Amino acid sequence: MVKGLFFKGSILMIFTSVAAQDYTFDIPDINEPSGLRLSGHLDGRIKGLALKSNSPLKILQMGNGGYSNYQTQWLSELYLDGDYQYDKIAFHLGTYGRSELPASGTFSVFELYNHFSLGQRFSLAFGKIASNWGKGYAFNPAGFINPPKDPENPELAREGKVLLKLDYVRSFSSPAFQTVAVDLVLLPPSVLLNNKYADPAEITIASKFYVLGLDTDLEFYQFSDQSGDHRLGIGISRNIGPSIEIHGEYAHYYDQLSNSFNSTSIQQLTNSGSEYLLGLRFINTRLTTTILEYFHSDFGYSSSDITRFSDYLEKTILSPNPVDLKDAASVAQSFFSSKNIGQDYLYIKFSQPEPFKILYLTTTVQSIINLNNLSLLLSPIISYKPYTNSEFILWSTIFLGNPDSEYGIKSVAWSSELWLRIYF
Amino acid sequence: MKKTLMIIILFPLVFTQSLLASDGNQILQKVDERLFPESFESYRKIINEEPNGNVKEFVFFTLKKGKDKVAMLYIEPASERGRATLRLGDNMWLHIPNVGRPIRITSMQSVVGGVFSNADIMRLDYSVEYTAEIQDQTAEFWVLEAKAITKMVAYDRLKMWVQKDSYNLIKVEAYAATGMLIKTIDFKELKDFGEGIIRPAVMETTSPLYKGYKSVMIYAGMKKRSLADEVFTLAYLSRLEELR
Repeated sequence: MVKGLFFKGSILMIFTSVAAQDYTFDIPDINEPSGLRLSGHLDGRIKGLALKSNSPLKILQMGNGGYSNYQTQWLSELYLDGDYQYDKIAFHLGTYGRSELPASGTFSVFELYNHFSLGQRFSLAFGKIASNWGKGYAFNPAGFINPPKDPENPELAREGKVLLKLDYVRSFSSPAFQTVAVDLVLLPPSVLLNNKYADPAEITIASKFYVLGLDTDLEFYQFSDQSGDHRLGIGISRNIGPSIEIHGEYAHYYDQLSNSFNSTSIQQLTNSGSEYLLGLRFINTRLTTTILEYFHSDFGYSSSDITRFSDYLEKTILSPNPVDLKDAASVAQSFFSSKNIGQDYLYIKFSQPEPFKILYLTTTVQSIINLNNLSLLLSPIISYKPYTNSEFILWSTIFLGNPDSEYGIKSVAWSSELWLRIYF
Repeated sequence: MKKTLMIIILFPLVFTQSLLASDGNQILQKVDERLFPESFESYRKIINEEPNGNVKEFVFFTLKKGKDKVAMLYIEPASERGRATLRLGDNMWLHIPNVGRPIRITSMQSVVGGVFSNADIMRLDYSVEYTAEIQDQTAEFWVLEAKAITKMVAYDRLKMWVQKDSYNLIKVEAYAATGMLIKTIDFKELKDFGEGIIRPAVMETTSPLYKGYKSVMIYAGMKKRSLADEVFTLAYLSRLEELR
């Protein structure tokens, strides 16, 4: 019998024989001195786009003619993270760099924060943090302090907000009441003096209360700022059987700004309303994962709003006045360019690892459907990972719907991207 | 009279059956005690061998406390680094650093692919999920038949070979409710990790559902460690690195 002893600070090698093969096991990082550890991934992307020849949005954004309706984009994106850990102190840096044709680029700090563990139950974090409240996958009605999420790719890193967070967690031995956690969050106001100074009387307070009991995650959320924006929310998640998970969120907003569009301009109203989400995740015996989510927002544009906006664009592109075109482009960019601008959505995703027993391949089909005007985007996605720490992705998207619907109004008919991703 | 006769005939059978069940459960508890200390940390490597001969490897840092609390941090490869999973009884969650919010996962899934499922990688004590009785025995082994206590357990039935002199687990066959064999796990390479922990260091699994695949789990660096209950909470998942 071989005697093996484990010493922290030294590399341990265990040689084991399994069948005719030797397996070595070198525990990583044990012998490395404390320091900043870098990690992340680099994405190289080539995107092909088919533009709609008669799209008013395309004409506003790119002018009328003189170019092909088939275009490409060439991008490099670097997600570079740094982590430092020493005993109970840590800091995290998350950055994003983007370079695209011809020679432009951007660099952003997505996260930069310190973290202090104050014993087993308390911790404190301060800095720019990308929070993730809520239980939904593609949508988070109760994500009051979250950065905006792209439902087409919910797992992308996002830029956080500067905040101070105090966490408390406590475990119990009763199955009816297993864990309690409280997050208290302070955020500076969104409007700053000279873009630098924050009035302490206008600090935003947000909190989350979490309970795990009877095998159910239950969360309560609160958000209040001094401008009168108050929000309350609840989130729930539970497994039903070994292969199904259900989740839901509900958020009520008091005095929330919402937009509607008459035939020529945006109308902004302050009113109360709700958003909610119901979802499930299911895996079958063939390991096909299905995610279904229904999302509703009282604050989204109605079908009529989007139809009126489409009519407005159609009329505006015929105007000889360049100011009209500029105004229309500004309205489109400011009020109609974000994701899920409508009221009712269905999100569907099917994912199958190794279909037809093709190794390292995962195929996915996802769709986001605006239920009010029955327009949708449909994305077949192929991921191939033949080598460790690398991934090839083919991601195509087609937009379908009437020209005056949310996805029909877009300037792109379809797109197809090839990604090469390397992890380090 | 007939009734009395029936009782006299049946009683020894029922009594023996319940004795066997009781013995089976006691053996299962001893198996659990041999496999895992009450509270410990360990490093594990999973090697997935593909039908084409290629190999994919994952390294984890694992913490376990009591019978039903497991937390795991992915260390290698780089594409998985920072991910963490938590199991509390029948509840499982996965934390992906960019997503941030832990998502509930199921025991049937496999976060690393290969033949090991989440239920295998974050396994609870057998005595928490199964009741066992002695089905057969030889001079050297007991053969236990273990039945899942609830429908949430990944495998409906296990057949387990246990060494009599040491309570070391040698082999497990996992079956679905239909009687179909799902996988076989062989426990190999008995190793002394120190502090009285002597257990198989290698688990090798194959499955008729994954022809040509083999997955191997290798334990290293297992040592007893006192851990607070709060380590096994969602709030702690993003902080597991500080415990290495």
